[in-house]
Amino acid sequence: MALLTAVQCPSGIKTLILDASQVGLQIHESCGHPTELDRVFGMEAAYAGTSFMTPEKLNHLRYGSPKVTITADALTPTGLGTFGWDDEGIPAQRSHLVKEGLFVGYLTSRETASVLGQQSNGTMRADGWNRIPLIRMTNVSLEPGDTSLEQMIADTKDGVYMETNRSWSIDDRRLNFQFGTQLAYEIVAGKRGRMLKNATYAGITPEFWNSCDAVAGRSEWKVWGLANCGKGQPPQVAHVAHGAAPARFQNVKVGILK
Amino acid sequence: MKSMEAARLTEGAELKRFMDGLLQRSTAEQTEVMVTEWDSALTRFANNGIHQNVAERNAQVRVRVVKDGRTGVASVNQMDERAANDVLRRAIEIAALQPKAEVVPMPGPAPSREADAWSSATADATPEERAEFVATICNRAEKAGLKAFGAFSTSAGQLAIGNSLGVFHQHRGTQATVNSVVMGDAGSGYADRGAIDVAQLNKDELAEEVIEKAKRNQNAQPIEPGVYEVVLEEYAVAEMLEFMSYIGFSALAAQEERSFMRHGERITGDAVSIWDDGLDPSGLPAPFDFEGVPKQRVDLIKNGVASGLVYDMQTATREGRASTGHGLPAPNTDGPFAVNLFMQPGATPKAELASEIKRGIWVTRFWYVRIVQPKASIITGMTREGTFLIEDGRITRPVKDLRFTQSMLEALEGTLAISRGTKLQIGEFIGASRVPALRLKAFTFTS
Repeated sequence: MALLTAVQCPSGIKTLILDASQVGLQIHESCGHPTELDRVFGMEAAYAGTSFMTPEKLNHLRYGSPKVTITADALTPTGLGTFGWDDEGIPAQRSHLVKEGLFVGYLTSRETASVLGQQSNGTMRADGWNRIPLIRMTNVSLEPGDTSLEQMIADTKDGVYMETNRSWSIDDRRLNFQFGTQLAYEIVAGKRGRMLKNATYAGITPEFWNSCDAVAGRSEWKVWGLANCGKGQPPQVAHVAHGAAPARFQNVKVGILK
Repeated sequence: MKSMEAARLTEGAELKRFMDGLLQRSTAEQTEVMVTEWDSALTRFANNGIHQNVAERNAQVRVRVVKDGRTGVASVNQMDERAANDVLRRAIEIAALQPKAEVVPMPGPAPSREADAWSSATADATPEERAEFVATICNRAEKAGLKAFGAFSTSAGQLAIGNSLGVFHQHRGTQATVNSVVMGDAGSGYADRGAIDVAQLNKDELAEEVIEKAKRNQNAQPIEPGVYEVVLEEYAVAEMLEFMSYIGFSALAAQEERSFMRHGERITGDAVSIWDDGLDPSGLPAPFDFEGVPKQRVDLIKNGVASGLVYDMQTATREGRASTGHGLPAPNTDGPFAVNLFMQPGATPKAELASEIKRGIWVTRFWYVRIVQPKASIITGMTREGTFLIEDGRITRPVKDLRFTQSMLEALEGTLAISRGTKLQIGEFIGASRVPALRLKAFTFTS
C-alpha cells in the first residue's frame, strides 16, 4: 500500500546498496551463468548466449574489487543447490569462481574441464529422467564481508537502497544488465529516507563488481533459493541457491525509465 | 533410411474411451480431464557440429474436479485405467483439503471448427533429415570461415479435453522449428524458421540469411544511446507482441487494473491492428482452449484503438459474458492468454523500410526482455545478433548491441511503415505470432 503513494526513484549516478536477496540475483545473472564452462564453449550460443568470461581471462580478469569473493559450494547447508554427487557421479564440492576480485574458476563438467586440463568440479545436473545433464549452478555465493547494512547506510551521503527483485534483464554475454526491485529507499546524509517506487539500476558486470566497496558480515548473510533457473534446449529448470549479504556499490546508474 | 518410426500418438477412439471411462468413474460434482501427448525430437549443434540429439515421447493426464465448492487438480504421465483411477482419487482428495473458494466453471458442449495443423512429413521426420538440414548450415558457415550454432526440432502432439458436462474436443498438430546463430571472430548473426510442415523450412534460405547477417555484423562499434528511428525485424516485433499479450491483452490484467489497454481509446498509431485468431491456418491453429472452449477471433487493437480482450471461463463469468476460448490449464493464476497473434501487414517491401530513414538503427532481434512497468507498457531488453546503423536510407555499419527501455504503446504510436510480408514466429513455449517488420519513429536505447 505504501508504494502507491511512494515517490518515483530518481534518475542519476548514485551509491547503491542492495539487500541480500537482490545481491543473490546479481550473483546468479552476472557471475553464475557466465562461469558455466559449456556456455563459454558455445554450447548455449544459439539460446542463452555465451560469456564474456573467456578462458584467456582466467586468473587475469579483475572481475571485482578485493571485497568480492564468490564460491560455488554444493555442500552449503540448506542450499537449494546442495547435493551429494552430480549427474556424472562427481562428488559435490566447493570451489572459488572469484577470489578477492580475481576471476579464478569455472563451473565445469568432465568434458569441459578436460579442455582446460582440469578435473570436473561436479556441476552437471539434469532436471529429470528425460533430459541430459548440463552444467548448472550449485550454491554460488558472495562470501560475507566485515560491515553491516546499518553501517553502509550510515556511511552513504547520497544513495538508494533497493530490495526484493522485480525485473531482471542481461545481455547474452552477461555484461550489460538492468534490474528492478519492488522496493527502494533514498539514502540522504547517512539516513534512510523516503520510500521510492519503480526502482531500477543498470551497469556492466566487471565495472559494477569493481565498484563494490562493502559487503555485510556473516550475521546478515543468508542462502537464497532460486527454483526456476532455465537453461538448455529442450528447456530445463534447475534449483540453485545464492548465499549473500547486503552489499554496496559506488557510482551506479539508477532510475532508468526511458 | 528411417531410423525411427513415425510419431506415436494415441488413436482418437482409444483416447476418448480412456477419458470417458475416467469421467464416468468420478464421484465429483464436476470433472474435467485433459490429455496432452507429444512425440518430439531435437538436434542441437554448436561449433559447426551436432552435440546433442534427443527424442522424447510423453503424455500428461490432468484431472480437475469440483466437489462441495472445492477444486482439486492432479496429474500423471501414464494412460491406463489404474493410473486414471489414481489421478482421479488424488484430485478428489486434494479438493477435500482445499478451502471453499471461487469455483472456475466448466463449459458446456459447443462445436469447434476443424483446424488443420498436421503434417505427416513433420511427424515422420528422422534424425537423419534433421542432421542433413543442420549440415547445410554448418558446411556453409565453415566455408565462410564462421561457426554455426543452433537447434532443429520436430514434434507431433495432441490435446484432448473432456468434462462431465459433455465437452469433448481433440486436436492434433505438428511443429518444426529451427534456429541458428552464426559467429565470426568479431560478431554474429541470427535466423530462425518455424512451420507446421517441415518441408516448408528452406535450409538454403535460412543458411544464407544467418551467414549473411553474421558477415555484416563483424567488428561492431559502439554508438551513443538515445532515441532513434528504428526498423524492427519480425523477430523483434513478435517478441514485443508476445509481451503485449502477456501484460495487456488478458481480461484478468484488465480486471486487476494492471493492463495498458483502455477500451475504446486510441492507444497506438492508426496503422496498427492486432488480433488473435486460433483458427487462421497461416498461424499455428488450435480450435479450442485448455478449458475446452472453442476459440473465437478477438480484435485486440483495431486501427490503433483498444478493441478487445481475451477471456477464459473465470474472467468471463465475472463479467457475465462468454469465454473467448483463451483459457490455460488449471490451476491457472495467470488468467487468459492470447497465443495466436496476428499483426496487420502494410504496403512497404521490407527492404525499403529503411530507405527514408536519415539516421536510425536496424534491429534484428531482442533478447532477455523483461517488464519494467506493465501499466505503462514499458519493457527493457537488449538487441542481439544484428544491430546496424542506418544512414541516409542505407545500412552502413554494425553497432554494438544496445539496451532499450521503452513503452511499447509509445513505440507503436510512431508507426511510420509496415512491411508487406509477414513471418510466422513460433513461441518458445506456447502459440505463435504472424507479424510484419516495422519502421518506428522513436525507440529509446538507454545504454
